[in-house]
Amino acid sequence: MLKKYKVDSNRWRDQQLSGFKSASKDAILEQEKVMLNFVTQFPNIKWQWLGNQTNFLKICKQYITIDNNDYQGIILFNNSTGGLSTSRLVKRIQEAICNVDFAYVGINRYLLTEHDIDIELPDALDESLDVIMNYCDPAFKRLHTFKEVDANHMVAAHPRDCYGLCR
Amino acid sequence: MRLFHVSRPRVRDWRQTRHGHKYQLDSVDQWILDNINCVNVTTVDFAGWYLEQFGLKTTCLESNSIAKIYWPECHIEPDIMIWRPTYISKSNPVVFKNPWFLRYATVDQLILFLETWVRSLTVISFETQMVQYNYLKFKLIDLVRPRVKLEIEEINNNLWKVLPCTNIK
Repeated sequence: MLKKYKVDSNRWRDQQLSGFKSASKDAILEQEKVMLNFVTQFPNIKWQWLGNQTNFLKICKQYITIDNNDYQGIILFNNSTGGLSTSRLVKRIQEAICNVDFAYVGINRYLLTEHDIDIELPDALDESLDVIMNYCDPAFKRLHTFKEVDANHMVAAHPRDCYGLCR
Repeated sequence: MRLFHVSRPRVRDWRQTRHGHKYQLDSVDQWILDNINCVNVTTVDFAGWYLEQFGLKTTCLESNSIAKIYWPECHIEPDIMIWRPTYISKSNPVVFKNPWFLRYATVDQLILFLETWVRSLTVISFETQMVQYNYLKFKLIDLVRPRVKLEIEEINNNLWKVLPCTNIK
């Protein structure tokens, strides 16, 4: 028997879902669709899951093969509360993609707190993120740009800037 | 839900206040009590009536009518970001704490908000990084200062003290 999913108001995904009256626990958020749209383009690829351990992981298993031991692609995103410098972000991404040809990376831009690598950033934050991802690997392509959210419903949300890698 | 989400991130804390306990002061509250000499303050959209427990006389504005359930004297103003009600004193201090409308606001919107609201000492506690600008490259205050005729003092990363400019020719 399936364990009943318990909504936890202190968790980011649950907070978002609870903002939509009609949403069920199986609902897929818009930014999650961005990820699914990308990874499902490669039906023969097995993916390592480096994302948050939420109900979304269970949903994804219906669409893609997730195998943390035998994989050709990685899915990387998180919403931890700690700050992240650009050097740590780059290191984390480069380590994650060094042995794979496919990757989805979702960045919570509000986790970035400091720029500490020796590359000049453009004035716009969107373009700066592009530069940083290009520094990680020039093959990264932007899939989605964070612009704005409905603060009334998604006050706790941190939509991501999403990138796909297909070497 | 803004009342719960924004100013009281944990509903449990909020419920404690409803049951009559004093709300635990955070560093912003403490700064307000230590640095604002005027007893009468306007609190905007953070269920600020709890400050009455600490000796202040509050005029409370809220964006959601649910607040009336908890503090019937509060004023409901749904367009707080762009509208400064005329009944709000132009001399008493105004306090904004975690204003939801500054989350994901653009710099232009922030400037318009400041120009609309600052008529007296205005204290704004907000996550500056949540305003949309390139915080990897700039400081928000450096982008705002040249564009407004206001005296902005950065108390810390997330707390601004703003005054109308007294040096206008």
